[in-house]
Amino acid sequence: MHESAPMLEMSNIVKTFPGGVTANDHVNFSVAPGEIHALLGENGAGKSTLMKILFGVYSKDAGEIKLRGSPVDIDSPKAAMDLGLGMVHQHFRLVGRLSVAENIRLGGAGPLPDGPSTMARLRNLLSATDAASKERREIERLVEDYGIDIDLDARVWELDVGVQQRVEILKSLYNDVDLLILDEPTATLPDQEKEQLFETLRSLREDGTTIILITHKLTEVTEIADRTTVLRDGNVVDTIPVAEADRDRLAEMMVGREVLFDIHREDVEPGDVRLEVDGVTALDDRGYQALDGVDFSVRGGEIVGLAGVSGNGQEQLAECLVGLREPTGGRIEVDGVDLTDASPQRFAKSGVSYIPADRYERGVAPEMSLTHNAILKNHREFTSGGRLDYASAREFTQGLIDEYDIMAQSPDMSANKLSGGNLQKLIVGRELSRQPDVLVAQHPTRGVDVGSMEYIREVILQQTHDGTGVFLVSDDLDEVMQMSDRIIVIYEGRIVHTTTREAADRATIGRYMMEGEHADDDGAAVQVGDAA
Amino acid sequence: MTDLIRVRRRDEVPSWLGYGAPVITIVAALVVGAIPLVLIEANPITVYGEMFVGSLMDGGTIINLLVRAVPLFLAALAVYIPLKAGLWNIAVEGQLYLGAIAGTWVGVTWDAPIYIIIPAMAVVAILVGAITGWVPAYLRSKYDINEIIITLMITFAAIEFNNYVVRGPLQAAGGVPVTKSLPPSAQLPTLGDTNLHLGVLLLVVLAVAVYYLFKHSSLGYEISMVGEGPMAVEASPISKHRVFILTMVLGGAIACLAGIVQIAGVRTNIVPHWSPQYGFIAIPIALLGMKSAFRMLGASLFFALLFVGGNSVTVTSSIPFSIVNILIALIFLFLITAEFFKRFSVSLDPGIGGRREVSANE
Repeated sequence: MHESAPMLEMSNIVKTFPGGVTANDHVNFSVAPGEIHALLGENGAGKSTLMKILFGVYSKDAGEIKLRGSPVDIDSPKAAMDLGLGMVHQHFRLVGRLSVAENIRLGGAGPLPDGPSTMARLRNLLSATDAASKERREIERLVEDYGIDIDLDARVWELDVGVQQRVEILKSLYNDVDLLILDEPTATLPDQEKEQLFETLRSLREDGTTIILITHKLTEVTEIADRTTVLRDGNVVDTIPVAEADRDRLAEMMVGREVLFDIHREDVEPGDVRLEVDGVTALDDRGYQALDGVDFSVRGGEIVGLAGVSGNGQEQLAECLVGLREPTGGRIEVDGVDLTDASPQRFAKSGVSYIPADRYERGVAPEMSLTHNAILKNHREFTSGGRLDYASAREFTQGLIDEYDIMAQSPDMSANKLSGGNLQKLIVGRELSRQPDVLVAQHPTRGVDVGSMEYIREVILQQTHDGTGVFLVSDDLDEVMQMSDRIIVIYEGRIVHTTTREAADRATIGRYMMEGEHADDDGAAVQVGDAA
Repeated sequence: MTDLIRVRRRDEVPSWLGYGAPVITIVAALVVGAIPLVLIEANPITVYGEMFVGSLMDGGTIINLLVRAVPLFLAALAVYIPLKAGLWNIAVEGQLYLGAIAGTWVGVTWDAPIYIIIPAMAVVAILVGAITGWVPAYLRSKYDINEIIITLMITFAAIEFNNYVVRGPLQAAGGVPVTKSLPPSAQLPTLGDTNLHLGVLLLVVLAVAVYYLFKHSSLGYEISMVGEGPMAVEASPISKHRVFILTMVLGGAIACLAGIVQIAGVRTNIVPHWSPQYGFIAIPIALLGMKSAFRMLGASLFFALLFVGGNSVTVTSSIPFSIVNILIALIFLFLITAEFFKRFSVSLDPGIGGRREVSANE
């Protein structure tokens, strides 16, 4: 079904990082023209490293890259772009204050002849010349051709993550990309935007663009990819057509064993109310109303999951519950103590643990050692007379490494050397080892590999046996539905639906997520919300 | 388009570069500093030899070296401690002046035995330093006002205030812009006939104290975490506010203490612009010694040697003292250059560019 000459051929790629971790161990990877090829593997399997080598971000230790049959030397992202490669990174590279169109023009070499310098592009960008309006028409044509839903004049900082991602894709298209690499593009996307992304990718494929999709989500592979290459521990396990694969087989290839997809929640007798939230209102960073009278409570031993399309106030609610955002109204009580306007320090001291959404920024000090980061929440326990006992702190950290199955060479290595999943396990271990009364967990398994995901879910479930009340925020509806005892749905800053695990029904929850209170119009569900 | 020079981002700083950077920086500055020496027809080897080796040969100069290192090291600590928490204290130069003024004011107006007056001068100077550190820290912590601007303005204001004081309330008789001299009972005791004053002990005491602070104390842990993970710390029991206030207050206190020590130990009076910019030279010293307090002590001694050796060269030959300023400026420039080389590797590679062109034309 594919032409014989591959679009891309990477052979015997070796990359060893300082410190001895071999991320790619003689990897052979080949992509046919015009296909969507999924690069599948757990975190730390070497997918991102391989693609960063291809895109000139990392240098390879050994191996050869051939593009359209001829060897190439790609020593910088610019060189990669000159060769018709494009990459949409997990963290976008956009200028927030500029408009969508300006970002696209700034990022791409555009139709100007002879690859203009950055300065020339910038000058051109700021002037309203003929060239500028020609570029504008070019962008409009792209948007129309690929049916991308976007306002070209909106400022980028005002846009949702999903829309920002479209800007990144447009930047690549504008740059005449033949081979587009997307690094876990759905990690931060809500379900319906994921659909729109896939639509765009399919129309790109029809147009002859070759696409490499880095992912660890099996459903995505089966949904959109033509072929998939599975990486494990820096080695290629196999490359197979997706039509011949099923989810269980792929999962087994990824982790080398059977993976449990269903979570078994043992019944835990709920205890006293740990967290009481009463009529909480709050603003977002831009000063718009984000929460509008949120009420709910969490008992000891109970998991309450918050479902919703991202951007409906979940982030702000979680921040209010750990003291990072000051509510404009309402009441928050932990174990019966009013903490409404309290500092994050008081929340932490009152037994509230927090797994933040952004583990690199909010979770750790990336340059500091694992020991430094492991004792972030309890360093005073290792202090006497002002002296911090680093020897026992190190022992404590080694304990976490062993207990939470963290792949780390030593407690002295810096946190940014851990892979995403292992870093998340360190944070989870740190937060749970305090035996918290309340755990606020924001996307605890987002962007981590299947093995770590399963493990993190399991330890959170186990924690409820010790009487911790868990408030779980997640974009992954399956995760919310399988882990939670009660599920609440948030829509435009209001709780519009409450249900139990037994009574939960995916379709009903989905309807409340999309439509809010209007979902009752057909009388399918009982509304709770403000009346509760 | 052929690339002769290839610059690529490093995945990680090689350890030899991380540890060797301060030494390479200084060697590079000396090499480039030889150019102006050659231009004025001096032999760089003779000049550097006299500066760094010859001046160390007699005992008197070693004492001068230690005395000179006191304001440099203390000022560097005043930059270093807030910098560990991610704050830039650019007020150090001004705080030297303010500490000197506050302490001198006590010394010339109050008549008390030496064992009372000296501690009193130190305490008043430290208080002034604490206040000038607290204000920018509070503004930064509560209102997110940039501390660099506030502290820089403190420096300007303090230097002007010093100009006023030497012509105003503390002026000595005679119309010259200089303050009254400290009476002998308000001067730091010296060792015998030498000018080795008691303040030199601060070099050892503070080096050990700051080393302990960052390697073993709980407060040092909190400061480092605030500096390296400001967002992560927000959701922890560590109070960023407290760390901001403490580091800036500590920095201000040490800087003001350095000011009065310099007056009570070396100068005995204040004139306009008495500090040869110790507070600004402190910044490269702090950066050279970022890894530990003892490295910073080493860097302070090196800069002290530049001053002392530079003085001695100036006296014995026709070399202008500007050569010292040139060397300091070069060290600053090469420090910044070293940061570039830590992030990027550069190689000369004429072959590659051509090959890429071929493949780009497919």
